Amino acid sequence: MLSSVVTGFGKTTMNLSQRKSIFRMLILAALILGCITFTPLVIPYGKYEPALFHFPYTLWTGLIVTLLFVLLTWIAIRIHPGKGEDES
Amino acid sequence: MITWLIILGSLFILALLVASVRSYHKKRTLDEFMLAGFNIGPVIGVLTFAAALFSAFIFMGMPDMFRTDGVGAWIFLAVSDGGMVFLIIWFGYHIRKKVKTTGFRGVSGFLTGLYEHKLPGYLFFITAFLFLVPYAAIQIRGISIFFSATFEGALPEWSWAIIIVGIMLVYAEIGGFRAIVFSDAIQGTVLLVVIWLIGITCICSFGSVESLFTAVERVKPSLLSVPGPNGLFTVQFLIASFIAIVLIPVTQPQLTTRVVVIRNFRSLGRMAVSLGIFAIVIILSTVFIGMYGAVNYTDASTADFLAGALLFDQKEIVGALAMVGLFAACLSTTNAQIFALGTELRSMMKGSDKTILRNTRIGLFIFAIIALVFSTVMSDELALLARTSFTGTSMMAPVVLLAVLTKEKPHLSVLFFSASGLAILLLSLFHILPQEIGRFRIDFLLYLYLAAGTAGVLVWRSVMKNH
Repeated sequence: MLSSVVTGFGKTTMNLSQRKSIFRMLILAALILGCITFTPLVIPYGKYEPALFHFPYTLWTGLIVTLLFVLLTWIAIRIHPGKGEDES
Repeated sequence: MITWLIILGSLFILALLVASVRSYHKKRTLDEFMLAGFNIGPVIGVLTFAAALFSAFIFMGMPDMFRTDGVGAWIFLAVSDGGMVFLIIWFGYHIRKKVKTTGFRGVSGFLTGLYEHKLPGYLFFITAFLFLVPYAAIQIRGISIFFSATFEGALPEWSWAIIIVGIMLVYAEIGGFRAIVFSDAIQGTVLLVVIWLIGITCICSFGSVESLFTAVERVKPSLLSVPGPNGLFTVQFLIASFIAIVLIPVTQPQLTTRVVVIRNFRSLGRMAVSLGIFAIVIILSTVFIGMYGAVNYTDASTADFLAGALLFDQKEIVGALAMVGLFAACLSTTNAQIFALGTELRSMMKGSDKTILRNTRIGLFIFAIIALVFSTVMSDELALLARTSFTGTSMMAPVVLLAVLTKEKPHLSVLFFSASGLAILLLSLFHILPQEIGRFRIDFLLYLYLAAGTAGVLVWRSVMKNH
């Protein structure tokens, strides 16, 4: 499956059902990421250590979560089952 | 600074004029005027989406939120925007697929067609009106207060508001949606450049990012974690905000329209990813401006902080560019919202194109005047008012999602949940109902109510179908 994802970026080597199942996995990953955001793993009350590149804890963890959402979106547009449907 | 302001301001107005004139064609169709002929590319798409979404709220509201409530503001907006760009792909695909079979003139008309009933369209339009007009008004007010404070005595506060609305109406009425999209692109670029110039100045004044955060730790360490010094960023507040913001492309018509009019799905995808990066870059700069304010303007009022940090602590040219940027930001969101109301109104009208166009233009004028009048009675809490607008329109999410996602005609019963949710929210905003029940925020509870109600409608429909 993973090799399909890797070779499928930007190409059409995956069939429709593979694309559908990977897209569903991405939706699940986005939901999990959304849930994790509101746990002490990302937003511990009153804690700002450890810092990363001098950024307080919640800021850098929040930055990583946001980047992960963008990364998921980037993967999603490449394997989306409806990709190419409305090209004009 | 005045000289720079005149030069840069003139260039900006000239750019708006060019955008309007280039978009004007005598023989254009109604769809070209209202929806830019469904042909917006990814670059212009991301800039218009960003300009319509961020605006004065990001320029003035977010630095102030970081200054007073701390780094939890990143979770409030940036993480939520991250979730939103993912939703654009999922929702964008489905609505564009549906639009291919039904056509699209505006969300209200789209809903009326899918439900085969006028109620959903009216409910959506009323909600948009109730929550977009005050949001547009607060931006007009924010910018007019800012300008009248900066040019003390030059013009009365209300005249700045009239100037903004006047310019907005002129280029929207001449150029239509295409002119708005092009001007959004100009404004989005100005916003990005200005906000980073100011952010860099704020970092440089402390020497480094490390020194900036060390200074904040010394002054008010509670700003560096949630829930912040005022206890705003609770888990419930952040979850409710996340839902409200993620649903923006579904329920704020000016942004739903932009999802639909993008040229094709590939362009939509590029737009979504670019928007996510744009959001990270732009919000990151407001962190530095806010932290700068936390140290240098600890107890100052919002107006004093913004005037100082955005204008008077900057080099003259940057201060002048900031003024133009603020003006542009206010203009872009306000006209996106007012024009969206016009589009919604148009989507429910019947008659010849000429009559609809005339009535829509009259509608645009009336909406702008209402926003102008409202702007004289609004409060100054930009970021929180923006959130209220997102929360209010998000009550319509079940109505829109059900219409877009179900293959058969959606059942009207879902309207009950959205309408009652909207009524409860309004009553709590006017303090007739409490804003918290037990330990739970009312908006948080309303999302649970809407989710349960929508699930109930789906299960009931499925059971009835099997019988």
